[in-house]
Order: sequence, then C-alpha cells, then structure tokens
Amino acid sequence: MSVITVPVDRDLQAERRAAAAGFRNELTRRGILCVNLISSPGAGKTTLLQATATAWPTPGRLAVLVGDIATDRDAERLAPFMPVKQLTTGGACHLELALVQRGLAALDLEGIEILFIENVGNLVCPASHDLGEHLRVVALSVTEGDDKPGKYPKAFRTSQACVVTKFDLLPHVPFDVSRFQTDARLVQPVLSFFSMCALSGFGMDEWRNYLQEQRRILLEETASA
Amino acid sequence: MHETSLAEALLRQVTAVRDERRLKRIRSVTIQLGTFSGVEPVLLKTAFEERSQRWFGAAAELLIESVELRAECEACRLQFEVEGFRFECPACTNEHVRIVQGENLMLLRLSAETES
Repeated sequence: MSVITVPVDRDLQAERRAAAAGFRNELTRRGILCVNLISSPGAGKTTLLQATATAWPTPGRLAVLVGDIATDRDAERLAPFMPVKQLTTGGACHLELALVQRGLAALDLEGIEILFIENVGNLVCPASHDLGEHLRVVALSVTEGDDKPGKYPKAFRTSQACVVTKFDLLPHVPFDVSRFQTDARLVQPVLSFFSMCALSGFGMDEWRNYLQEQRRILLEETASA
Repeated sequence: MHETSLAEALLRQVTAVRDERRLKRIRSVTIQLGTFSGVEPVLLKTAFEERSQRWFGAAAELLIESVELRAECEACRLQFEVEGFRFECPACTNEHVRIVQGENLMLLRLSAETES
C-alpha cells in the first residue's frame, strides 16, 4: 500500500453554470424574459407579482413559477392573476435549476412575455444559484431596515434591480432611503431602484416600464444575433 | 444551508475520480473555495466529513484552501482585493469592476491509498 496525491483541478460549478446558460439561451430564443425574484420572507414578492399582472397592458403575457419550502398558498394567491406552478422544495432554502425546469414543463408558455421565478424567501442561498434568469431582482421592504445590502452583499451584488416594497410604511419606520441606496451601490453600482407600494399601485408604472424595456432589449439582441 | 447538497456533489465527484483511477481509501480531499462563493467553509467541512464515513467506509478529511475576492477595474484594469464588499477601484474610484476570483469552488486534489 502506498499513498499518492492525485491532482484533479475540476470546477465543481462548471456543469451547473453551463446548464443555466443553456436554459437562458432557450428562453431567449423563445422571446421570454426570465426574472428571478429574491427577497427575505414577507417582503412582498407575491403581492408585487399580483399587482404587476394587474397592471400589465395585455392579459395572458406573464407566468410564474413560485418556490416555497411547503404549501401551495402562493400558487393559490397567484392563480387568479397568471398561469402558475408551485414548486415545493421540501425543506431546501432555495430553488435549483432542475426544479425550475421540471416545473416549467407544467406551464403553457405560448404567448408568454415574462416568466417570473418567485424564489424561496431567503436573502442568502438564492443569491448563489443561477436559475437561467436574464434578470435578478431583489425586493426589500422598508420594515426590514436600510442596512441590509452590506449584510447580504451577494443578494445585491448579483441583482440588476432592487424593488423597495411597502413604501407607504416609510413614515412609520426608521428607513433612510438614501443610506440604503448608497449601501447597495457600494456592492452593486449599476442597480436600478424602484420604490413600490403594490397595494396602492404607487411606483408600478416605473416598474412595469422597466420590465417592458428589458424585454424589448432582449428581443433586439435576439433579432440581431 | 445548501452546504449539505454541495458536500454530496463533492462526494460524487471524488467517487468518480476514485473509480477512474482505481484508488483505494480516500484520506483527504483538497478544495479551493472563494470567500464570495456563498459557501460556509466550516459547515461544508462538517457535512463532507460526516458523509464521507458513510460513502467511503472510512472518514476522509476535507482541506479547504480559501481564495480571496478579487476584482478588476473596467477603466484602469487594476486588479485588487475587494475588502468589506466595497466594489470600487481603490486607484481610480471607478465602480464598474468585474469579479475575477473568489466565487469559485474547485476540487484540487485527493490524497488516497493505492494497492501497489
């Protein structure tokens, strides 16, 4: 018996990265903008999606895959607004690509412009998992505090847009919007910010315009490719 | 808390290498782990070592080489260590920087017993 050292040098994420890129390309080819929505539990992801669907100019253009550890409560809430498939992780703290792809098989994507993935409520693990989305959006409610970007840097670093939700509660909580934005821009300078009260519709026009613009860019890139 | 699924992914890779190279007992596994990989090293080490007993019949040690988070400035091309998650070029204060290192998880090498 002898002991040897075997060099391997294998990137453990290479396979996952390639799979996510392949999925993204497939959605791009079909003209579907995929948006991965992440936040802590209770930030208002589901309400934001309900309001987004209500404000969308053409009905039947949005679809959603919604992840939770347990129950199909979010799917029940979203079903009146758009085609939805609930993904239950059975304890896992984030969605993974394989689960998303399985869930997608249950949705009819004909005519769909935007596919939302509402991730499991968690600002940590979802940040490390590329689900093949074109756009990652982090939502944060004003009740959670303005110090979160520095505490959860990866969630903000890997996002392109940030929706600050429950904005109507701002007068009642010590949330400094400019401190929050400064903190977030330290980790991600190109972050687009949206102030939102999904229940009243405040901020919805800017958010909807942003999503429409992002899809237009996607279609242009597809056309020129 | 996705360290347990990562530990199992790592064990699958190690098993594949062991079988390819016809190795016997795995003594230790060395990985490179970026500080911005989103993986907690202590949790991964515990998860791996606990499971290795069951997978290999004998515990294998997980050795982790930590890799700092580094970025490159898109304006002046300076490469620098990102401290305190401040993604700003220390030379020209440009905020458009690209991560070049620190997000990775690499299986570097194994130490194993052979028959000969």
